[in-house]
Amino acid sequence: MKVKEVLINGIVKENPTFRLVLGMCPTLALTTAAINGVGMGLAVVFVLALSNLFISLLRNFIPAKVRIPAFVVIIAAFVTIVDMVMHAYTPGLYEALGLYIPLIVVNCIILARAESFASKNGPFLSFMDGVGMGIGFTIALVIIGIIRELLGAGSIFGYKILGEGSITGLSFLSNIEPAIIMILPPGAFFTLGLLLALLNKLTDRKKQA
Amino acid sequence: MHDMLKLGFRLFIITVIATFALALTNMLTAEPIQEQIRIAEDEARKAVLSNAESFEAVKTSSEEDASGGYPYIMEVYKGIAGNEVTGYTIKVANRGYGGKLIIIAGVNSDGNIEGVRLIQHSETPGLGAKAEQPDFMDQFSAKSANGQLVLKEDISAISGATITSRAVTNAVNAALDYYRNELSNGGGK
Amino acid sequence: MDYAVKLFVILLSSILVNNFIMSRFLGICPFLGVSKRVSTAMGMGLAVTFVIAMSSVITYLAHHFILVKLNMEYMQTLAFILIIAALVQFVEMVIQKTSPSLYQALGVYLPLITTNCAVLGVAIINIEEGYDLLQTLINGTGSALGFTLAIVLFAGIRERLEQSDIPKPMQGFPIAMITAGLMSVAFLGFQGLIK
Repeated sequence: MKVKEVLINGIVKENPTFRLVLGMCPTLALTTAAINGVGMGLAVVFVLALSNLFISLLRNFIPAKVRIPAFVVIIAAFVTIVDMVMHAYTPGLYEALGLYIPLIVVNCIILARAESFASKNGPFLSFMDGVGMGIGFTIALVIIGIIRELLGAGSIFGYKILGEGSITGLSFLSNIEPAIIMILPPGAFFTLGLLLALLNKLTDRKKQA
Repeated sequence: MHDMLKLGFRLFIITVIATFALALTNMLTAEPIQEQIRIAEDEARKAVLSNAESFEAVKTSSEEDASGGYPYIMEVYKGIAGNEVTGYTIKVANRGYGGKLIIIAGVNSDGNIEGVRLIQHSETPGLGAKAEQPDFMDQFSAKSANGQLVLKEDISAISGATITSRAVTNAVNAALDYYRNELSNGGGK
Repeated sequence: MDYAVKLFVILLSSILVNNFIMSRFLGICPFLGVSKRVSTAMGMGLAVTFVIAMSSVITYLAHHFILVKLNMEYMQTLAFILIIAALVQFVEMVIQKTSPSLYQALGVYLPLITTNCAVLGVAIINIEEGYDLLQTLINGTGSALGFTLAIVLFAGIRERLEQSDIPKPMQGFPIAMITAGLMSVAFLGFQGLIK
């Protein structure tokens, strides 16, 4: 498998959020603001790429019977490193992501890729698979984040567009007040559900064409 | 048996290496992390007591306070400029609509509230969360610390977020109580 | 007496107000995966409740008596997840021996309890909230019961949905998500239950 193929695979064909439907917890919880999606996404890229790399390097050393605990230890180590580094150098993001940083360890995407790709492929390819999947995850988070933030808080990346205080100065935009429910839990479920349905519809149409 | 030992041993090696890596990272990041915490806390204190140059702890949180129920005083710092005490910052925890909320109130030496900030909360975005904005917070400034503030009289509640507004107001009142009872009489210590 | 009331508040809030799935978004993967039949959902819920109850206690002890004493709090994530993995392995063996039919029904979802964000999540939340051992047990058990409540309700709805005519793009995950969203709206009603 070529590197480019592996990368694109993680972003499009096997996008972890939209196609594999993995890693739902942070997807639903952290998409209240697009910028949180970026932060979490990048943290996951880091953990995913490096843990894939190391698991691949150690794939012959790790006995099959204890592979899950072994994977988990390696993933947990990188997650803790990300946690400490973020706490030290990006405190705002650290606060925003909160509990979800250590929860990266149980993000099904990482364990799934370790099991299905990294344990069976070479280090460089595994690293790129991690990067691709991570980027695919980030893009998904940002898309959902933009939708929820715009409809729920009226802003995009913090810039207010809808409702009072809109920076566009257009009165028809400042008269539309955002629907708070979008940034509450139901909004997360609805947005993801509708996006998945939309994607199904589009890919079905492609298949028929 | 030999098999299990081999499994256990290899897992052990991986765990040990992981632990070393973490211990190393911990050593490298411990200082910056403490610094971040210090900066954030000082910033919060300065925001509510801007005339202070440095702060000294008067009281820090204890488990006893926390177990007495809400609201409770988390910590108190003395604000200092030059050789004088310019006021006190009092951090109070209370229960809001969505969970624990923490406010910090600055009372200056004139006995008036200099400012209040909401530094931690889980209130509803767009409703109770509006409590952190200046529109609501600024109402507390310049109020006297000698009485209790009454919601809807001294302080306007946020429409649709009475519970949050009340929680914040009660927390501030707890700070004022503490100021009156502990600080203003023996103040300047 | 006051302490008992506080315990009750923790229990109520962990089941309804801060429901793990409906408000905290912890445990979504198994929520979506196992909830097609009420009986399986119930079995999964109880297995998770058992694991969480035990892991709450063990992680509490590990944190307070080992990590804190050795000044190694940064090892929390690693230590906790290893404890959970071992516990799940143990529960798996017990279920295999005592109820092979349940073991079959749960299938791959049983080892997946390890990666259930709810299990690790509640362990971390217990420490963060500063609960003592009993409060930890109550919060853990309550959260797990809330999880069970949510997946059983969801399975009930999904069983009915199977009979309905759903437009093709919405079949599967999309309609499940919308359903979960509607349930979550209902659960919003519990906010503010605890003064």
